[in-house]
Amino acid sequence: MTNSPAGIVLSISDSEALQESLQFGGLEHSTSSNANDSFGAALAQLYHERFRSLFRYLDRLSGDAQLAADVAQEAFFRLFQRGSMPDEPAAWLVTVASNLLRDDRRRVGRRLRLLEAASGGVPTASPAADPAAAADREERRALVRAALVRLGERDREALLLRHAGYSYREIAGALGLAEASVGTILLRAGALFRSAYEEMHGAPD
Amino acid sequence: MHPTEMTHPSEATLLAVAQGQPPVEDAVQILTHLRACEPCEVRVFELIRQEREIAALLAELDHPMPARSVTEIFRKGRAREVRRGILAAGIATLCAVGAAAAALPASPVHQWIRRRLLSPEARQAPAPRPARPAAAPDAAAGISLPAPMTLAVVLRQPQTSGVVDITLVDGGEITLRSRGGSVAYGLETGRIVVENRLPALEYDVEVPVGMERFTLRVNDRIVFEKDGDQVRAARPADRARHYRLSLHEQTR
Repeated sequence: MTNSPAGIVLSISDSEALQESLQFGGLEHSTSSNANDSFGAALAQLYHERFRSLFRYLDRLSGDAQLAADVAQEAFFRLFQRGSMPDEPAAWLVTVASNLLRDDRRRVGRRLRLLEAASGGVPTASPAADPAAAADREERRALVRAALVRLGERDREALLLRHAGYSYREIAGALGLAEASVGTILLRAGALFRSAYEEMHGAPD
Repeated sequence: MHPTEMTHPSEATLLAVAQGQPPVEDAVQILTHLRACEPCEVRVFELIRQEREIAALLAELDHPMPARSVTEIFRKGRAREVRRGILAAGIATLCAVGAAAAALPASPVHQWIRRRLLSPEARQAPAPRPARPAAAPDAAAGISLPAPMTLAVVLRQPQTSGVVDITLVDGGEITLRSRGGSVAYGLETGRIVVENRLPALEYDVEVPVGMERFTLRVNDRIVFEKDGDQVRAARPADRARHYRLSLHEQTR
């Protein structure tokens, strides 16, 4: 078993994963086994390199780690079904994952609102070892989230993508922007975010 | 050229430098400028500090990453392929069975197609439904339809043998079944015509008691007739509401 960075759990070794990807790649597209073998290998490589950043972006955007992991996994599965690599795989994955997330929000939005109303808006978190520390953390999270909400959707997504490790080129591809305009958007998004947070909390420590 | 005479990079460009994403085509010129221009260099360090603050704040939102594996994707893909294969095989089997059933002249499917698609009379008549199979061991074919007030069942060709079981029932549907031979049914105005060129050996007819008038004819001979509550048949009922008649018998 391979010990990867915390959070990523590989149930088999990299070489086994690669073997499996080749096998299933051949099953999916038996007429062009060499091309599909290399596609399976490229997909496995991309997964190991980019799953974490995609999860990080989706987790911060949605606030739901399980949903973020599921959506990231589904985006990679859609790439597997596609059968070939797009020009900008990381941007393609973000676009697909963002659409999946929007679909999910539309689907469950009403149910969540009803649940929140029924629970009186009290967050349903698991009990922490240190309630005071947990409360502080929750307060900081709420402030950060409130500051993010003040940004426009595109600015928020650009800021979160950049801080999840995406390049300007990938951000442009994912959000349908000109690469030259990404810096301007990030500059504005960062300034708005900081000022919104400071307005609610004071300057960051 | 002195730094003060140079055009300063834009804030967005300085941010790109702070984030390690300077425009490739201008990278050398920008870095040269920064070495010579203290205000721009200071601004880059300020932007780096601000980026670190933002990164620390955003990290507050992070949760531990749930366990996921790339092998799940390949397994899911394989499972979907298997399901598609099973579905395709099932559809192909159904098509093959349906085609075989339609090709066999004695099969109910074949007869249904003849009635529904090939018979010109059937195109004008209400659609008959296949009758429920009788409990007999050999295959039965037939039709069932809501009983009109008046109806005649006419076997087109004379029968030299065979029997018909006629039962008066309480329901609202008239049902006609045949066993053995190969007959087809056609609906015409006020009558069901049985094409019995290969005559069946037995017929079952269920006639609703509520029908005003019902007649069973073989060629031009009347074998059974119900007119209101009156029944005319060559033999009396052998049990309640049940008549078993030879097909060459007649009432008059």
